[in-house]
Parts: sequence; structure tokens; C-alpha cells
Amino acid sequence: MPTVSATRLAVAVVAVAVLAGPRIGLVMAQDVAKAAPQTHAIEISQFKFQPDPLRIRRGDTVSFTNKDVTPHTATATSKAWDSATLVNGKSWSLKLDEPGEIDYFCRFHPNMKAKLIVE
Amino acid sequence: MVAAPAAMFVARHGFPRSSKGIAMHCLAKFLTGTVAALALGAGMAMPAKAQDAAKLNDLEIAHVAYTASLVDIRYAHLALALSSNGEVRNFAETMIRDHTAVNDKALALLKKLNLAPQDNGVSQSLVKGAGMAVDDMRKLDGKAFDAKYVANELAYHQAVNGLLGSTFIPNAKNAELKALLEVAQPIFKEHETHVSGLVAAMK
Repeated sequence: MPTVSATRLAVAVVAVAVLAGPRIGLVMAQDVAKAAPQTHAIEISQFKFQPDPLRIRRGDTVSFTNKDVTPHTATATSKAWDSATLVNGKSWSLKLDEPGEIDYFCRFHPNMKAKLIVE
Repeated sequence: MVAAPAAMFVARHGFPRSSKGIAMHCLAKFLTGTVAALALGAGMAMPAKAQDAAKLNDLEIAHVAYTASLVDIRYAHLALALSSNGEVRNFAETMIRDHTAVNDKALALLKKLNLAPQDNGVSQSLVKGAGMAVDDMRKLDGKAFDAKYVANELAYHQAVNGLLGSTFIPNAKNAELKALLEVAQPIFKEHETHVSGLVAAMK
């Protein structure tokens, strides 16, 4: 009897492993993907930062690209960072490591305001 | 023949000479109206006459649009010379930066099309009005200048935006010119919003 029980147990363990294996692998892959830093594009177009607000994870990078004819900047309201002048077609990237909500704007056009949410 | 003020102004500030040169347009009919407001500013004297903007052809519309930006750049340089207000100076620098960018785009389009803009009564009224406005503003300083400058900028952008939306964009025949005017419109509207905030803050 003990031998039979051990065999059944072994079969059950193998069955669980076979059935759950791919799922475990999938979950692990998702975790890795979540953890891997990503780059998010923010387009400056029609005097707007898009998307707005943008939710990212700490360690991610945001890349601002100016699609407008006129120059713009991406500048933290706190003045913690500033892209300097971005003429048409130019990009600037920023890596954000600290969680929190960050308001930013264009120094040249103060009505252009947007928000980053770092989780 | 004595060159018209608009032609001299534009020649001094930057239309490139093309093989066709700047055509001098004979003005048969003058009207007052929306266009006159362009040079009216904040209580500035109205120019004597203004050609009916609705009758302008594409090359004349291009000339007016370019001249309007040059006039605003001229106002901005005056502000940078006379104002010590940080927000006013920031706005003036933005006017130079943005209107230069738009005009560069306009010049590139005209070069591509191998066309020269045509001087006209509306452009001449703009230049005449700008001269009067500058003469008026340069007598001021400090807060009085700042208030006059931002009020003039608000009135100027309101008039330009009205003309763009109601007349120039609907009337432009060339698709690329129309597209350029449509690109310029939100820029100038943003300027209007920006300066209206400055006007409100100074009251």
C-alpha cells in the first residue's frame, strides 16, 4: 500500500507540474517584463503633451519629441529637470527613478501643462 | 516710384529676393474693417485705409501673414529693450522664437513653389499701424509700458486670429498655403491665451 500511495503521489506531482508549468513560466515572464525598464514616448503636438497624464514605473525613461513648428521645452514645475529648447523634430529623454506625481510644462508656452505619474 | 511702406519694411526684415521680385500691387479699392483692427492695437490710431482682406489672392495672403509676424517680432524687440518684467520678456522672446519659426516655414514653402509674395494694402496698413504703435509705446517705461505692450499684443493676436479663421484660411486656394495657415492658427491662438493671462494679471 505505501508503495501504491507513493506512486500515486509521484504521478500527482508530475501531473501538477506538467499542467501548471507553462503558467508558472508565463507568470515569471510577466514579472520580468514588469521589472524591465521601458521607454515611453511623449509627443509634443498641437501645443499639447500627449499622452497626458502618463503613468510609468520607476526606472522607466520618457522620451519627449517635438512635432510642432515652434520650439518647446519639457520642464518640471519644480525646475528639477529641463529639456532645454526642443526645435521641430528633436527629442530628449529622461529616466525617472523616484515614485510620485510630477507636473511639468513648456517654459515658452506656460499654458502647456501635463503630468507624469511614477509608480 | 516710391516703394510702399510694407515693401520697404519687408525688404529690410527679410523676404528673400526671388527671380520674380516683390510685385507691387495696384490697389483699386480700399475698405476699413477687420483689417484695420490689426493695426489698432490697444487704442492705437487706425490706419487711413485697408484693402478688403477678402479680396486678397494667395500671394497677397502670404505677404500679409509674413508681415504680421514681422510686425509682432518688431513689437517683441521693443519689449526686450524696454521691459524688465520677467513674464513680459519671456512672452516677447516666445513671440520672436515662434513667429520666426512660422515665417521660416512660409519662406520654405514659397521657395518650393518658386513664388514671391505680393505686397498689398493690408500689409501696408499693418506696417503703418505698427510704426504708430511703436512710436506710442516707446514713450513709456516700467509698468505703463508693460501694460500697453501686453494689451497691444492681445488686441493684435485677436485681430490676426479673427482674420485667419474668417478670411485667410477659407479663401486660400493653394492647399499647401492653406495647410500652413492652419498650422499657424493654433500657435497664434496659444499666444492670445498666453498674453490674455498677462493682461489679466496686470489689472
